[in-house]
Amino acid sequence: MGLLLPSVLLVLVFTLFPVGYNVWLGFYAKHSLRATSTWVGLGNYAQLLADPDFWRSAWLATVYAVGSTTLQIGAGVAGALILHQRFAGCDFLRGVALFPYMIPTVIAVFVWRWLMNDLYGVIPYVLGTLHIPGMPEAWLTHGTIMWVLIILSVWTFFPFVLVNVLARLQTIPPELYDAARVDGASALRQFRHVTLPQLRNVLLIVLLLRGIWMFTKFDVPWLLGFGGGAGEAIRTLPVFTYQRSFTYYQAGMGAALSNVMLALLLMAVTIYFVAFPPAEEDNDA
Amino acid sequence: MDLQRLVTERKQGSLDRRQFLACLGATAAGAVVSGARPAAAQKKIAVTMWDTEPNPATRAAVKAIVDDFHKLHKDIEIRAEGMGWSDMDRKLQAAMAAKSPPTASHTQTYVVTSFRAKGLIEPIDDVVKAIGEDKIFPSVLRWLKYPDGKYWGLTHAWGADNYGGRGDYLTGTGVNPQSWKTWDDLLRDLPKLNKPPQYYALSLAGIPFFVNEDVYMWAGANGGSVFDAKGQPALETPQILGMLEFWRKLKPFLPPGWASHDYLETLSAWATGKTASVLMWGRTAGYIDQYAPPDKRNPDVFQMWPKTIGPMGKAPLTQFDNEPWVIYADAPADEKAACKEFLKFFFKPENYRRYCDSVPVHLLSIFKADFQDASYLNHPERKRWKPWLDAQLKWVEIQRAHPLLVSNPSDMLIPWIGDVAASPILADMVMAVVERGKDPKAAAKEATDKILRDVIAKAK
Repeated sequence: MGLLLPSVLLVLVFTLFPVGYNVWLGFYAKHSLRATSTWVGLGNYAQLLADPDFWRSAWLATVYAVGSTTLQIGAGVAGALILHQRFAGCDFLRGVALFPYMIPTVIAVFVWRWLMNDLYGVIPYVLGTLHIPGMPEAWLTHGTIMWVLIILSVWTFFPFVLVNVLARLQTIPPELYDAARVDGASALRQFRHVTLPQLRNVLLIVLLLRGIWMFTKFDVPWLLGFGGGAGEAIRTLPVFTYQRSFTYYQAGMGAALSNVMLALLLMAVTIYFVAFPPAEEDNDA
Repeated sequence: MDLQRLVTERKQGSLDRRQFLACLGATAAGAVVSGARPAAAQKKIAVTMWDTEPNPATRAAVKAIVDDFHKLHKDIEIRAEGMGWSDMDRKLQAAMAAKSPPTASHTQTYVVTSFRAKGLIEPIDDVVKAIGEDKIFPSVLRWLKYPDGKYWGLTHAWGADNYGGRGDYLTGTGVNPQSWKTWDDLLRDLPKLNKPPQYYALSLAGIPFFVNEDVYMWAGANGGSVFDAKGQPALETPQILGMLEFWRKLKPFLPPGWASHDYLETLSAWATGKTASVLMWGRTAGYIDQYAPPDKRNPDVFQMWPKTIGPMGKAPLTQFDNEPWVIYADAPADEKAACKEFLKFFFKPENYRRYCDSVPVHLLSIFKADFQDASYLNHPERKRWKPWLDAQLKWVEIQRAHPLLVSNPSDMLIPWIGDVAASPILADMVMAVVERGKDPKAAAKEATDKILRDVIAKAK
C-alpha cells in the first residue's frame, strides 16, 4: 500500500485537483484579473446554454473535428498502404511523411498563412492562373477559412495515423493474403476482407484519439484566425472557451465551458465504445 | 558535501547506493537553500518591468539604460523584459490572478482606467513631478490625470495614427488626396486607386484589436462615440450605423482577404505596393526601408493623406498611442520605490533620447522641448520622414488624437472600457455587416446586448 502512495499522490495533485478545481470554479463568477469570486451555482451553465455563440462554437468544433479526423484517417491509411510497399526510396519517403508532424504548430500555421495569403500566397496565385470558375480570390475569408483549417490540420496530423496504421500493416501475417489470393480475391477484396478487419482496432483507437484531440484543438484555429475577423468563422469551442477566460476575463465561465467540453467528450467516448466495442485480437493477427 | 566528492566516494565504494542517494538529496536541498542566500545576502531589490517594445534596437537601448542605472544603484536589479501586446496581456492576467504582478509594465490608457477602478495600480504623481510636469506635452498628461487629480501612469513615448497613401499611384488618376474632406470625397476617388489584383486602394487589418481602432476613430469622425455619457453602449446611434455603412462601402476597395490580415501585414502590403493606402503608425518607416524599392523609400512616395469625416462629423479623429508605464499596487513597497527611481533615471534627457532614437519616427518624445531641439529633430530618420513627424504633431496640436476606444474624452473614465476593448464584440459587429451582409441595425443591437450582458453585467 505504501508503494502506491506516491502514484496516488501524483494522480491526486496533478490530475484530480485541477479537474476538481475547474469544476468548482465553474460555479463561480470570477473576473480573471481579480482574486475574488462570487458563487453563482449553475448560473454560468444556464447562461452559456442560452447563448447562440456557444452553440455556434460547438457546431464549428464538431465540423472541424469530424472533417479533419475523417480526412486524416483517409490520408493516413492511403499513405500507409503506399509506404507498406517496397520500392526504391520508400524508406526515405517514410521519413519525409513524418515531417509535417514534427514541425512546431506555430511554424506550420504561419507557413500556411503565408501560402494562403491573398496578396502574396503561392497557392491562391497558382489557383488563380488556372482560371477555374467559382474559385475564391482569397482563402482566409469567412466563407473558406474552415476549409483551410481542415486541410492544414490534415497535413499536420495525418502522419500520426500513417505511423500507427503502417506499424499494424507490417504485423499482418502474409499467409492471410496468400490464402485470399488462393481463393481468387482481387486486391480490392483483399483490402476489404483482410486488411481492414486487421486494422480495425488500431483505426478505432486512432479515431478516438484524433477525434478527441481535434475537438479540443486550440492552437491551430487560434493561430490561423486569432479568434476574430475571418477567424470568427473558425471560433471553435476551445477558442470560444479561451476568449471567455482571457479576453472577456470570465474565468468562471471559461471553467464552465471546459467542463461542458469534458462532458461532451465523455458522452462521445461512451457512445463510441458502445457502438464499436473493441474486438478481441486474433492470435494469428 | 559537494557533488564531486559524493560521486568519487560512491565510485570508490565507500558509500553504498542508499547512502549515496540520501547524501545526494541532502546536497540538492542544501543547494536550493544556499542558492537563495547570496541574493538575500546582497539585499538587491529586484524590479520586474515588462514593456511592449520587443524590437532589437529598443531592447539594446533599454539594456544600455538599465546597465547605466545599475552602475549608480548597486542595490537594485532592474529586470526589463520586452514582449508583444498579446503576450503582455496573457502574462499580466496570470500574474494578477496569482497576486504576483510585475513591479511595473506598459499598458493601454483604457487599461489604466480599468486597473484603477479595480485597485490594481497606484498613482505615480511623484515620478511625474520629479521629471517635470510642465516639461511634458499636456496632450500626453491629460489622458493619465484622473478626477482625483492624480496621475496613474506615465507615457513611455507617444505616436499618432495617420492615413498613409502612395504618391506614385496618383499619377494619371487626377486624384488629389489633399482636397479630401469627407467620406464621400474618399469614396469618390478610391475606385481610381483600385487596380486589382496588382494593388488595392485601401488596406485595413481584420484582427479584433485593430478593428476596434477603426471603429472608434470612424465613430468619432462621424460625430459619435462607442459609449454614451453614462458609459452604456451607443452602438445603435445614427453615427455608428453610418460608420458601419461607410465600412461596407469600403469593402470593394479592400484586398479580398483583408478580414484575416493583421496589422503588420497591412504595413508590409503598403510598403511593397500591394495597397495604395493604409492606416499606419510611424513604425511603418522601418517596413518601408525593409521592403520598398530603394528609390521609393521617401515621403514623396509614402505620403501623409488627410483623414476624412462622416456626414455627421465635424472633425476627424485619430488614435493617440499613449501607452503608459503603470506601477502595480500589489508589488512590494521597496520594489515600487526602486522602480520609481528607475523611471526618473529613464526619463533623464540623456537616457530617454537613446530610447526614442531606437524607433525615431514612432517612439516620439513626451518632452515639448525636444521638438524645438535640433539634435532631436536632426536625427537622420526624423529628418527624412519629417512630413510624418509633422502630421503626428498636428493631431496633438488640434487635440483630435484620443487613446484607443476613447471617442469622447469622458469615455476614459468608463470602468469597463478595457473589457470591451479586449473582447471581440465590436469586431464581430463589423464583420457581421461587412463580411456577412447583416443589417447594421441588427448587428449593432446584437453587439449592444453582448456588451450589456457579457461585459457590463459582469463588471458590476
